[in-house]
Amino acid sequence: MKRIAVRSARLCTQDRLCRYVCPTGATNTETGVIDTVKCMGCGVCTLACPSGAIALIPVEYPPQQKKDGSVVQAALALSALLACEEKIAGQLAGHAENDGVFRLMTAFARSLRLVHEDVLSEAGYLLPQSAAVRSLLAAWEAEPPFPGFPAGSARRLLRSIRCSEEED
Amino acid sequence: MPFVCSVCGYQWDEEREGAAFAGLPSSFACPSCGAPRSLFRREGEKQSAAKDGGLSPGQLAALCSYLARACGKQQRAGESMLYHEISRAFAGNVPTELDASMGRLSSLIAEGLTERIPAVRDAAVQAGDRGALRACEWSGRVTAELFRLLRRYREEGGAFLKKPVFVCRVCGFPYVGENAPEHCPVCRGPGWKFEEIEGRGAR
Repeated sequence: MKRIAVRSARLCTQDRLCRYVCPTGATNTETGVIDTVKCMGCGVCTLACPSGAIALIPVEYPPQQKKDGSVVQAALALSALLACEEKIAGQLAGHAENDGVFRLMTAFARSLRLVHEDVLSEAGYLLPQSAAVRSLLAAWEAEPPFPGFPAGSARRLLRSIRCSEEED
Repeated sequence: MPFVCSVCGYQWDEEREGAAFAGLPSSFACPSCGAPRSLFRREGEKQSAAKDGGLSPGQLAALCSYLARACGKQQRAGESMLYHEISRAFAGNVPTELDASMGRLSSLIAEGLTERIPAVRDAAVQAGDRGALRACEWSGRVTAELFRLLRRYREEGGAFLKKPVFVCRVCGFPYVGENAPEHCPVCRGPGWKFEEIEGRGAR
C-alpha cells in the first residue's frame, strides 16, 4: 500500500538523518514539509529519525464504517441546533459592546463550530473519500446551491479524491 | 402535526397561525431565522433523503470546514483549501438569525444538553457505535462548559473576561484564565493545542 512520509515540525529536532537516508531528496525542502510528489514511501526516514518526528501515512483509505440510520438522524438533528447556535454567537460577537463580550462570543462560535464538525464526522461524513461526501459534491456540481457558489472547486474535488466505497 | 423549521426549530402550527402550511408561497421564510420554505418538514419526519442531504447552509459550512481539516491531516493541502473556500461560501449564505439574544443562545444550548445530545447517545448505545458515543461525551462536556460560562456572564457581568479566553483546537473546550491548561480536560489533548481568542484591537 503506497504511503507518504509526514514530518511533525513540532517534534523535529533537526538531526538531519532523514535528509541523509532519503533516496529521492523528498525530505529536503525549503519549507520543512516533505515533498509528497517525490516521496516514494520507502519508510527509511521514519526508521532513521531519532526523535520519532516522521510518520508514514497511507495514500488510500479503507471504506468508512457504516452508520446506523437512527444515529445519523439524531446526529443531524443535533447538527441543525449547533448551526443555529453558532450563527447566534457570531452575530452577538459582531454586535458586542465591549472586548470581553467579543472574545467570549467569538470563542463560543469557534467552540460550537468544532463540536459541530465532530458531530458531523460521526454522522457518516468521516472521510473525504466517502460516498456520502461524493454525493454532495456531485449534487453541487450538477446544481450549484446558490449564485456565486464555487462549482469549479466542487468539480476539482470530485476529480482529485477517489471514492473508497461503492457508490449508490 | 406542525411543520418544523429544520434550522432553528420554529413550529408552524396551522391552527395557531390561521393558515395551512401547504398554502404558503414559495417565497415564505421562517419567521424566526429566515430559512427557506424548503427546509421545513413535518415534525417527526425523517431527515430528507435528497441527494444533497437536506442540510442547511450552516450545516454545510461546518461539514466543509471539517473536510478541509481532514484533507489537511491526509496531507492534501490543495483539496483542503478548496473545502475551506466552499465552507466560507456556505457560511456567507446562512440567513441572519432574527432572535440573536444571549437568552435564546442559552436555551438552545440547554436543549442540546437535555434533549438532542442524549438522543444521539441513546441511538449510539443501541447501535454499539463508540465513535458517536465519544462525540456525545465531548460535545456534552464542551456545551456544558459553554452553558456555565454564559450563565456566569449573564449573572455576574464581564469582569472575569479581563482574562484571556482560550479554545481547545481539538474539541472546542472553552477556557477563561491566565494560562491555558496543561491538558484539555475533555479530550486530553496537549495544552499547546489551545488557541487564544484575539480581541478586536483598539476601538
